[in-house]
Amino acid sequence: MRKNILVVCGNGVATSVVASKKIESYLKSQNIDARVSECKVQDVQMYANKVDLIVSMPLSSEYPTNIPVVKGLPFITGRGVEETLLQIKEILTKQ
Amino acid sequence: MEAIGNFFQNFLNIGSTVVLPIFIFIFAMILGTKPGRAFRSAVLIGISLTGINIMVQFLGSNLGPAMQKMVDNANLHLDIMDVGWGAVAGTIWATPIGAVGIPVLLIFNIILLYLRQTKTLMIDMWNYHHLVTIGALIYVGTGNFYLGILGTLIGAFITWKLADWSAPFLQKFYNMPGISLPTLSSISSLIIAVPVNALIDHIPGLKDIKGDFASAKKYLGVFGESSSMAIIIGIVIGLIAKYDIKDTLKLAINLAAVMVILPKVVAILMDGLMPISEAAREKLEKKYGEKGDINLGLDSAISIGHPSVITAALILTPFTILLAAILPMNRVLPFTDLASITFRVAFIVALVGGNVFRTLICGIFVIASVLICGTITSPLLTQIFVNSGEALPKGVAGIASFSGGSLFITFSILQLFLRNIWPILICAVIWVAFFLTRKSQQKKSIEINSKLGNPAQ
Repeated sequence: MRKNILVVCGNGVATSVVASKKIESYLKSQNIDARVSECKVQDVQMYANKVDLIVSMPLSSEYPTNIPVVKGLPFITGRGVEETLLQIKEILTKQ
Repeated sequence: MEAIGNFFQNFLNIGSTVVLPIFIFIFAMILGTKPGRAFRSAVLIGISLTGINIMVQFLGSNLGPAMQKMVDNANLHLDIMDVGWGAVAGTIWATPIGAVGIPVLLIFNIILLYLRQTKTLMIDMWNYHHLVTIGALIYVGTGNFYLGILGTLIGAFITWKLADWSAPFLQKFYNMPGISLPTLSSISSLIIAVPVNALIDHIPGLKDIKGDFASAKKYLGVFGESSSMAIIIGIVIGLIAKYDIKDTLKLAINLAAVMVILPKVVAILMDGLMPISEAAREKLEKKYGEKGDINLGLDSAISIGHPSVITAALILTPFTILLAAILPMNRVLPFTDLASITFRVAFIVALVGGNVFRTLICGIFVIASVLICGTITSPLLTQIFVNSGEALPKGVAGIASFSGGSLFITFSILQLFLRNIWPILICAVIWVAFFLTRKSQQKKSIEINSKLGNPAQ
């Protein structure tokens, strides 16, 4: 079943693009069928109910509690990217 | 370097959407990117610049006539179009200063780190455009390429110093050690917010208000979603311009379209810049990453998720539109960048430890400065826009955004180079106020944020 991932960012434009490209190619290489979209923090409510996982670029955000959230910071610092991708994969495959 | 700039300027006549990609391709190759990826980057950037031009023209063709009617029917001179930071960034990249901007700033950051003049390792490539804008504005205002470069370097120096200064309380508020947030669009707010906040500290009664704004989302939620906000603005403009129902609704939908599609087009620009930004970041991190006492300079986008930031931005949105209408000096019609108010208030929230009431007070002053500086700088920004080969849509007097020349730091440096006495004096007063209050405010902020404990992660 196709998984939906939402990458949340400041404008839905810059930092989220970096993260989503990396996540997309990783999941493809792992044969996980997923669709990654970007949005900005204020628009989360619009997308929230159709989403299996949220990757959050902003720290300290409030999200609907039933959706697992992964910190997206590693994608902009460049540190801890592999662990984060692994974490995403684990969450998706467990669902 | 002037030779490169002029060489580039000659080619600009071919059209920036062709020339910039060529330049990007060469730069990417120099940084060691594979030809395939470099080519893809270059083409994506050309595509996004073209897309941005299309959207700006579309926005202008819709807003232009409406702006004209608002002047005629309501004497409302809001005829400078807010095209958003993304469109301005795209336009700036396509200037001679933009062409050499990234390498110059990269080298400058390395030099300053080496001389221990800053602790910020600038890996936030996206937001270099704010710094480059300073130089581009100075270049078009003075005609002197070298003054432009100097302006950019001065701006960079100030920004990174401020990033170091704000890092302690930002780190505490967001519970993130080892980082600083050198994004000019967010840092600029602090020059104004810090003295204002110091003033509030001395007003009895006012200084103790925390305010509970939890219900704001319920009533103002519609201003948070871009498309609904645009529809409302479209309808309001249609009413003021005395459009009939049909034209009002058409305007509303077209504005909503721009509000949602334009960011997507800017995202293509970011996608194209990615290989360059990653290559540059890797090189920087290799040289400096592991050294102690270095703060990673990140995009302030990571700080805008805090509930107080979102609430404050939500409340400030209708305020911004109101301010735009009543401020006598303002001619900017806020639109595209209403979505980035979060960036303008993110650091204010950290400064005041999450107090939304104080954020609003400081925020109003900041927004006022954004509108007025934007109005004053618009002629230069519009000149850059026109130089890149674009025509100004009919009825639109100029372009602006909430970043670009509207940022107080950018504005101050620009006015200095243009030698305009009155703006310089007024800016100087605010800068002095900032200098006098910065140490005590920094200390207070660290104290407040330490007491907060761990904020919600």
